[in-house]
Amino acid sequence: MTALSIRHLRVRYNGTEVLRGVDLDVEEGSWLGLVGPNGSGKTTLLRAVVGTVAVDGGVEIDGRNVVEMSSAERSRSIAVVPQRPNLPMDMTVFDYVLLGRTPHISYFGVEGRTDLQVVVDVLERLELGDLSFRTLGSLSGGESQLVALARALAQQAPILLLDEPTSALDVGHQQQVLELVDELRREQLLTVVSALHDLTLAAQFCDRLIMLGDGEVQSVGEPREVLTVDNIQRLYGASVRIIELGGGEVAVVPHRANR
Amino acid sequence: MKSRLVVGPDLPRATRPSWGQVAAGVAALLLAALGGLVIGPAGIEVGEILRALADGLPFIDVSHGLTDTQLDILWQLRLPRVVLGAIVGATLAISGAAYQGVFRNPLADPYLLGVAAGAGFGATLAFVFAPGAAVGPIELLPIAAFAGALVGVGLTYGVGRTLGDRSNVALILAGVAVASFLTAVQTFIQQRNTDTLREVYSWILGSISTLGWSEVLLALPYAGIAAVAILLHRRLLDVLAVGEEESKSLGVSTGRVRATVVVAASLGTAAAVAVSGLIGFVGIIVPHTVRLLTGWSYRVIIPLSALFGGAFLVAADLVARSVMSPAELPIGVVTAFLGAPFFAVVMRSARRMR
Repeated sequence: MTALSIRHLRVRYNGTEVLRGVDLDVEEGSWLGLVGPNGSGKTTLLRAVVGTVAVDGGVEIDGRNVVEMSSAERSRSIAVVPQRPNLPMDMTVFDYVLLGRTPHISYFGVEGRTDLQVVVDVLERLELGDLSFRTLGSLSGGESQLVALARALAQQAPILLLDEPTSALDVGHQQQVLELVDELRREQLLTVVSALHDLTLAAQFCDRLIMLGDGEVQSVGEPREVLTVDNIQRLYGASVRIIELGGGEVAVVPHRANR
Repeated sequence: MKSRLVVGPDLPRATRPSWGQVAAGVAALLLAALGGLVIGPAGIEVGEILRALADGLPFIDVSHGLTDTQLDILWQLRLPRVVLGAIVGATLAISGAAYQGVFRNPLADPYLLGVAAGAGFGATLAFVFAPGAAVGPIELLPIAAFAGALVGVGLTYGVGRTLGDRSNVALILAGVAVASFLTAVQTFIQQRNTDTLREVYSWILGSISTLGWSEVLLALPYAGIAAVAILLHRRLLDVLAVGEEESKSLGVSTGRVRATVVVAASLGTAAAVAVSGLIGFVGIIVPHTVRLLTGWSYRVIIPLSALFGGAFLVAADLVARSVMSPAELPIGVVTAFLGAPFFAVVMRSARRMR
């Protein structure tokens, strides 16, 4: 079943067209990776899906156009982990993750037992219980990323968007976060859409990739179909080698051609 | 790693003020109020005042030795003055906290944003051109002040945005410019209408000295509506701490929240200005002191600011009428004398607290 579909999506910032007619469908429970060079429109596409930029064209969740949904309803369907989340330094981890319950609380309402229980469960699941009453300002980069993920999970939305979830992390934490997202996706049947810079990680974790360039979809399909030497040369201007790792896995390795 | 968070009946709570904090606020307010009631040039004995106050409570009969004149001083001069000080102080403090929340700007304050200058401008127009006028049963003065307050904050927000997206400095620069401009226009109007000059000037310097129960009744409904509206938004103000875009992604209509809270805070400021003139710095000293002591959450800052703001202004008024007794200092002089140095301290730490 299609969890999320996008039709003829156009976005302009100050008169410049950043996305020029993007179409895509994401299967329920799958992981779609958005790749493409800097400025190709990955973040804008995610923003358009969340509804924080004005768009032309349609975004549909489970067959319903998002313009028919209230903003709270939309946030109960889609949760997002921003690339650089604002982490107010005096706020505790618990209070921050509790903000994820916002779309489930009425305008003048306050959090109920369910909301608090959901937050406790999410913190337990991500093994963040010990950090619950630490302030955000005291966390390491890896911990901050997990806490931002925890807030998104507390929204209990079936669709999870991740904007460069690993760009600030070392190689070990990158793997740890992506493995965790993959486990959660299987456990909770989440549909995941993530923008990723690291093409090798994108190939290893995503079911399908969409390569954006110049505000348009340049290539779409399984990772090995999209990540070709030609595509990467053409869009990134990078010279790479694609290395088969066995079991269908590939790695994209930069290669100095003129040495 | 095994986590130790308790699951089950003892769930952690969402942030809210502790009983101890509320008790401290109530105690401060009562102490200031008591000071305001017992201290004064008439030199009535404390014990007698306490007995007379107890006697004033329903169903309680206590004998006291106050003369009728002394009773009048207590019930018609000192008590309304204390009540009004508490209302104005509480309103200015929570309005300041509310502006700081919606603009995510630690320097936001009814005075620095041009709201109070706008209210003063509106009130001056009413003073000069339509003294004592009313729309039906409602007096014109607070309405003119409210309209002026909205014009002030609207101009500041508009100008600040063109300077660069609500950054701390841009918004405050815009506020200073708008306040100066509105004050200039206001001064011009006053000078052209010298017959009301003295009256307007003493009002501008800020005073709650000559006020009685009628001013309490004038301010209370507006201040009450503003306080309730701001209190109801305290959880949403906490959400805004993660910024515009993330708040939207959490399903908050940020524009609507911001507009509602700004209108409410401006209404409160206008009510305060309409009865007491321009009393600066309460909106910045009180919420920041509360914040320094209790943390980031508006669920704590707003209710406690109301209590401590009321206490602060009642105490400031007591200082204003005691230091040169029987002459009185304008209360705005006292709050500015304490507030301006404090503001410099806040500026120093403002970069840390985003």
